[in-house]
Amino acid sequence: MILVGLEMVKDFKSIIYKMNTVSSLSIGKMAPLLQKRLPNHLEELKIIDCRINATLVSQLMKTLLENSQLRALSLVNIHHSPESFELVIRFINDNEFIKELDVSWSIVKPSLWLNFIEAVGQNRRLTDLNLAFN
Amino acid sequence: MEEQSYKLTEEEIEEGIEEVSLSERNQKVMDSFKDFIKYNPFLIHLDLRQTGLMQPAIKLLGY
Repeated sequence: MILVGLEMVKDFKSIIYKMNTVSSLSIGKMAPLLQKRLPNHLEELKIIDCRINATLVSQLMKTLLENSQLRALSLVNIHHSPESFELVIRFINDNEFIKELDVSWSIVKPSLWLNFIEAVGQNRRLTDLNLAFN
Repeated sequence: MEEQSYKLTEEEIEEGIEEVSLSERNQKVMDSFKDFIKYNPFLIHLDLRQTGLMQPAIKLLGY
């Protein structure tokens, strides 16, 4: 309900979910916010210590890959599947707007980190990268 | 057979660096990181707390 209301707010810039549950419905309602264009775009999405499964992370990342103009993304303490993490990697590669990325405390298969770091190695836009506790 | 010494040589102590080679995979990771740090003019903040980087990796990041 809150997210539906936020869609109507013109200059809404930041969503921080902390120690909460992120459901499929939340992701669905968040989608129009994430796809708002400059100058009314959402700048920041932080999901910290939330209950969210890897399928929903994939769903979120797919939404973000559709031309999101997010500046800062935090996915802290999230249990990734190979698919969801590959989508995060694609997001780093493809998105021109992302400047701050926090993937600290992630639960990811170690072999996937190599792809992630290679993507980061190609990136020339990030100003803030947090990989702590991985 | 001579007993292998795990003590650092005097030169190593002077340099303060113990040479440990990185695995090929870790080397790739570090090279990518090096590129990221070296060629990203916008980088302001990089948090690598408890990412398990070994001393040679940290050394490599500095160059």
